[in-house]
Amino acid sequence: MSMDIEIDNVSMRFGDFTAVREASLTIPGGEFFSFLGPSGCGKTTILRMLSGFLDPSDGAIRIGGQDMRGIGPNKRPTALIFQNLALFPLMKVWENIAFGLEVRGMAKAERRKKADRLIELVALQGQGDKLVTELSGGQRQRVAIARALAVEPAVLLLDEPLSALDLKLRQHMRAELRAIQKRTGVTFIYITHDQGEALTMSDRIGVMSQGLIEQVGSGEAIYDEPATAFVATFVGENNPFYGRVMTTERGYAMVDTMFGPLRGRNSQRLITGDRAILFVRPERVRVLDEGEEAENVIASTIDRVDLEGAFRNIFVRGEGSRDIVVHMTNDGRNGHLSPGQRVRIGFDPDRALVLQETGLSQQ
Amino acid sequence: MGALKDFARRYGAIMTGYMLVACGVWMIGMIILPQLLMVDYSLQYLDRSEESRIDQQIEAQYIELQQTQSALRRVGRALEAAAADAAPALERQAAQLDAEIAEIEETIAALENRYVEAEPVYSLANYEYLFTNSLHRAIFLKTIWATALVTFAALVLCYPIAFYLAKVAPGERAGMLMLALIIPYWINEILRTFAWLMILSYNGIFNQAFTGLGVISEPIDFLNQNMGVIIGMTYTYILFMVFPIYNTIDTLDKNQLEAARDLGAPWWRIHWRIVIPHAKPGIAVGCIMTFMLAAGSYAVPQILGGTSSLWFTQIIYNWFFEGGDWNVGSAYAFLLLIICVLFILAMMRLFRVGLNEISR
Ligand SMILES: Nc1ncnc2c1ncn2[C@@H]1O[C@H](COP(=O)(O)OP(=O)(O)OP(=O)(O)O)[C@@H](O)[C@H]1O
Ligand SMILES: [Mg+2]
Repeated sequence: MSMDIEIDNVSMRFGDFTAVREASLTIPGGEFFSFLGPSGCGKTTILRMLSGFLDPSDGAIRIGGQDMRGIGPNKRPTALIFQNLALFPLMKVWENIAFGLEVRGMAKAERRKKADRLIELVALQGQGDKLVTELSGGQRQRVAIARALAVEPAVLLLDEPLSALDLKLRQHMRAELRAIQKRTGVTFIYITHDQGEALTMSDRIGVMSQGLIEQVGSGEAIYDEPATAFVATFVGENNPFYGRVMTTERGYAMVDTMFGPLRGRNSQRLITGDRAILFVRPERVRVLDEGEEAENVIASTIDRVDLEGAFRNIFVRGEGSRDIVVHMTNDGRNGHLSPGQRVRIGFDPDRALVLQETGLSQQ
Repeated sequence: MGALKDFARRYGAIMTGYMLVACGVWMIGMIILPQLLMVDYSLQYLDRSEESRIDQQIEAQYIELQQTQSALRRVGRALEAAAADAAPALERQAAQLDAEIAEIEETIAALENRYVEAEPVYSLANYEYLFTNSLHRAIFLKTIWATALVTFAALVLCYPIAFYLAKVAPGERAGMLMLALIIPYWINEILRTFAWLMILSYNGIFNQAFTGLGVISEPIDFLNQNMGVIIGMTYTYILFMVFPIYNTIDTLDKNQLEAARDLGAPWWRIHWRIVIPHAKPGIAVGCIMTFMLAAGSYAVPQILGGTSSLWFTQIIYNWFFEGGDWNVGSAYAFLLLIICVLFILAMMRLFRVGLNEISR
């Protein structure tokens, strides 16, 4: 069952527009892998190349070691769950699920039996004889999953399948999807532009931007060690400080920002003079008490304080119109902070990351 | 009733009243009354057998009268030329002929007195006539199967076109093709049919081209077989099949086709299980329209049909405008209507679609 998927230097061009650029990636069988990226970055295009609706302009896709070029979607060991599910509205739930089996010439009684087993797997007992139009959004979701699983694919491809659901249901279905994946051991390749979804469900994530896979790694790696400025801003919240690298020493770099020199880790080994952005996450900045010192200190004015219950977001005036966000747990000691007040905020160089400033169009 | 109130609330009483009256006039004045009148006509049987028997008798008397009169004239001439001794005999004969003439004229007068306009009586005789007249019956049945054949041919031809237009052709090309389909229909039906006459006639384009190329050794006489009519009609009514089907297929989510393919379905199964079930209302509407139009077509068979390929509408026409019997004509027309209604019901049954879906 374990079929590795190799995406080997794959590019996809539509006319002179390149939707996917030299992607290379191996996804081991049984993994829950997510592609994360903003709208239009080429996620669906990758999925359509994997499922066989598109053949790459360059490079090769191999599933279980076999080159998939020229093999149609109906002949691949993949099953696709569409962004809008694409259930067959004129068929009953069980007929939808059994469609792939019908195609394979399975007898009706047997189809029904297998469909019923899948209905149980996705917790839709007793709904088999309804029309899909009579189901709720979450139930339809499950039918789509069962329909795809019915053909026993080695790889299940999911194209933002939860985007149409409301928040509650989405969170519930995340857990459900993950559980189904664990139970079946099928490789899931999941597409989303929702980082929360990617972080909670995936074994590994590939972050994409404008046709490029910018970073591949576990959720932790992507959150804590973003490889590029794009990843740093796209995944989670981040406070950027623009400037040039002044000095570097043993894995750290000093960046000359408008708040003065700030120091952070130099994972990209930038050299003096490089244009750089120092990133620090809101939850890794703290408001300094009177007399408290830190290596990186910024003095500014509080613009706004948002209470979110368990935590507070402090917006401190930063560069231009941009606020520096400080994320504080509401431990009862920061209630005195109010707009207009001067504060000093600080953070540890180990908590900050210096990354090369690229021509990224992000904010 | 609720719908009516809703309408009144939205558009006001005057508008609602106008709509009701307009619909009523339309339904009753333009549809129900004329049809009822036709049914009434069709059920009135004029028994003309007595009439024609008297006609025959009168005619026989007139012939006898003429013969007698000419005999009398011959006797008159003989009398002028005859010797005196022969005259009395001839005069006797003339008197006798005179008496005969008077008698015949009397008989004619009597017969003409008996002659009355036939009273219409209600009966099914007009309908029966279709089934006793073997020629008419044959044409009636032929019209039904040929119309069914036209409908089927149009369906087979149009379904792939509609599918291609709706789901395969890229936007721009679909528009061009649509235009190419529609433009010929800007030319009037009669002219288009005449164009087919040019193509299909014995010395027409088709026969010349294909005998020239040696594909066929002898020209095909399309027009005197039903072929000409069937080809012409299929062409004439294609649009009425393409558009309803196109409209339904157009609403089919393309992802469903891809989902089916992704699940392993070959193209024919995708059509059988996904596209056709979705397009059913369109197919039903297309078949119904084509069937009704073809069954009621007059111009196409008139132009493309030869003497041996009459269409039922032509028979009806003859009853009304040449046979001079509107009652039988009405009966024939009503039978055609019944066939069409039966066809509609059959299609709705076959495709399991309701009236509401059809009128969508
Ligand atoms: N068939 C095509 N022809 C031309 N351009 C295309 C085609 N398919 C996709 N593209 C382009 O490729 C780019 C990537 O599209 P893709 O559908 O992969 O984006 P995506 O990441 O899935 O976005 P979303 O999150 O909005 O679904 C887009 O700019 C799109 O316009
Ligand atoms: Mg997409």
